[in-house]
Amino acid sequence: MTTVALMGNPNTGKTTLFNQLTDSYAYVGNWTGVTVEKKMGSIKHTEIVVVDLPGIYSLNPITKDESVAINYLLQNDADVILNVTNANQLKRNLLLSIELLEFGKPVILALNMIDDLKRSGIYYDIKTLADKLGCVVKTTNARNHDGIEQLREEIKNVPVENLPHTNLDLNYPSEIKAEINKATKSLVDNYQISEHFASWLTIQFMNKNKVVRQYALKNDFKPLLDKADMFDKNEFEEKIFQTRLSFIEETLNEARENISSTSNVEITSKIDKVVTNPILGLPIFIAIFYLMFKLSFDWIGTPLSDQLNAFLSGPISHYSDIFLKNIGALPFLRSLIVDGIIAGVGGVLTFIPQIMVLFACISILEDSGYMARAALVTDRVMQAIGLNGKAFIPLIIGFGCNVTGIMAARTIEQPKERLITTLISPFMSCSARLPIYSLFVAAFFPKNQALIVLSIYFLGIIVALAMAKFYQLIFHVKENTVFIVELPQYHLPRFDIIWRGTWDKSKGFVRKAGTIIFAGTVLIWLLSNFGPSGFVTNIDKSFSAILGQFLLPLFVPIGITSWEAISALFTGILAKEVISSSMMVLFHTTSQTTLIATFGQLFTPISAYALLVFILLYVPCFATIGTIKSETGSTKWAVYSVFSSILIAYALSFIIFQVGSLFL
Amino acid sequence: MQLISEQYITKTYQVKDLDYLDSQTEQRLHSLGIHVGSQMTIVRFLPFHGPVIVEIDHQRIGLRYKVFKLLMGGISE
Repeated sequence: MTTVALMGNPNTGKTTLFNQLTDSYAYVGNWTGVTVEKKMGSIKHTEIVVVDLPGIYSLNPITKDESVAINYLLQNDADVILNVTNANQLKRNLLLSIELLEFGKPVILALNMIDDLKRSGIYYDIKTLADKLGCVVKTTNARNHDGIEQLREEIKNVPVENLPHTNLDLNYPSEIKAEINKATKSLVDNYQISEHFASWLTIQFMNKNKVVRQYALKNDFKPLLDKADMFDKNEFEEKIFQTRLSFIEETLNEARENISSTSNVEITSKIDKVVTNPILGLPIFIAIFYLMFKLSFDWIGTPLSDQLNAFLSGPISHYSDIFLKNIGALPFLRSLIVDGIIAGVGGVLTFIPQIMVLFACISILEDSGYMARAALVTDRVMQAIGLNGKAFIPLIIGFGCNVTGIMAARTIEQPKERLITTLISPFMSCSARLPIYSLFVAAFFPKNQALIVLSIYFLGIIVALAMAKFYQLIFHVKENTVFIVELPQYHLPRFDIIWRGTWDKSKGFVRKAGTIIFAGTVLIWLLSNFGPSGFVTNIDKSFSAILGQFLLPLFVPIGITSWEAISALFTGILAKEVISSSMMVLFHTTSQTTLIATFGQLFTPISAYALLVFILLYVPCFATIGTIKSETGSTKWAVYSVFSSILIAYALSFIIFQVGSLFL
Repeated sequence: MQLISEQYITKTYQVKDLDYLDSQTEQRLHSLGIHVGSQMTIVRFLPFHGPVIVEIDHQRIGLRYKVFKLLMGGISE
């Protein structure tokens, strides 16, 4: 089996290339201690496995997900490194290439986005590049499938043993060279490692590569550890950088050819003039996201969801009921399947159209290059609460669904900022909470419906921002985080790329949410159909009634006086949209009008508002809890999120109810 | 603010200094091929000392205002 490791800068089209090279692939679970996923795929009809690693700027990682690449080199045994570069930005892409070439494994350098380069009026002589760098160089344009076939053939047909091992030996200043030789010799003699690896390690060590320094410490590489101070004092890092930079400039000058240019750069400039306009930038950002929401929750997503819902709760539910009756299933089993699993899991499945449309929009924004601009225009606002522009997008997406919002937080580089974004995401009022809001505002605030709902949304944002500020203080987030965004050239989104991106993201949602929802549904169904005496037909004798009544004294201070409401809140943990339907069941009614009339006797406007605030903030739904766990890689944060939100929800609704009762 | 900064737009400056930056920012800028002496064209300022868009080696980058000022040779505030 041959392993090809795909490495390169972010924004070089690595993943697009990966998707085209491989035809079957699977997400592979978490890397040790890192929540970022690596992807593995195989090339058709071969034993060749391609590993897609997160994009990196250099082998010295700044963020946790960047450390995946260096750890991969240290721990795994890739046979070939496929270094994907943005041909248009070759100068800085080669800085990483040099580090990979020094590693010694065979390298295939793919000059991707070659069309962008040609458009800018420059071309490089491939043979000169290959000679100077000592590796195979191929040109590709992954977006249009250009050069992919040739690249695949290169990987498939050339046996690994025939690929030249790279032998890049840069002309570092003599003092550095002498130290590299000394350390390499001593490492080879005393620690049984290969010469190539030893010299690469030494250079990386001089370069202050954090991971390599730890690796040296762990293996007690004395020849390196003893010299660390000397290396640093003499600024070896800076000197190595300068040597590499002049080598790259020299190489590129030699290989450069001028051709006539047609400019795409100009179009990018024109679009940027508008979307990053100091005054219009933010409104345009808001308009684009508004459009995205309209598409997902109004124009396309919701109608599709409604149809799916009608199908699942109509024919599917009806015929499975008849089918189960005919085969003589036990009533409680029938109820479990029809009222529990089909209703509960189906309730979540109906969200798939909305979520897929939302994901498609996000994929389009990502693929076109707008996301980087969005991060830029919102950065100033986010800076005030210790986050950066990259955190704004997940929060906005959270209005649609917290799960997708949290998943979108993956694009944030700093682990602490990503954690904060994940933790505050559930406070963004997701679309699933809307049905219960509408029910209550219709009952208690018929004249000011929109205003009341808007106030709930704003309260969510305020709580999220306040908590972010709080976390910023307790996590000691440094004020100057690294916020450097590349603004790639705009691309016209391609259907196949959008489709693949949408499918990748939605698939995960279906799988992760599906399993948790399934388990949760069964649990809730059991609680409301069983009591101490066994299977009950009267819900008043079920465990959920007992639980509701038991907890009632706790909820009286926030204005809730009926156990049914409390039990409904519990079902809301399953999925927020279930709250209103549970209330229907628990209050023994089938029409909203009767339900509204019932509310009139149980709540006052103040206690109703307090309840809405409680619903806004209390426990994230199962799918969100599951996502928090998988994205933070720890059960601890998921549990913390549950308890902290209960506490905040309780405190706020307590204040609103108690203070409000004094005045009204 | 943007009015004051207007005079700088589309003008090209040399990157003067990387020494006052924190090491991570310096490292990231290095990885992007930015070094002392790089030619930096100012494309846009976002309001309230928000990010600054600059173009270096035909590539557009958004930087925090603070970092931008240090690159221009200003001393950290």
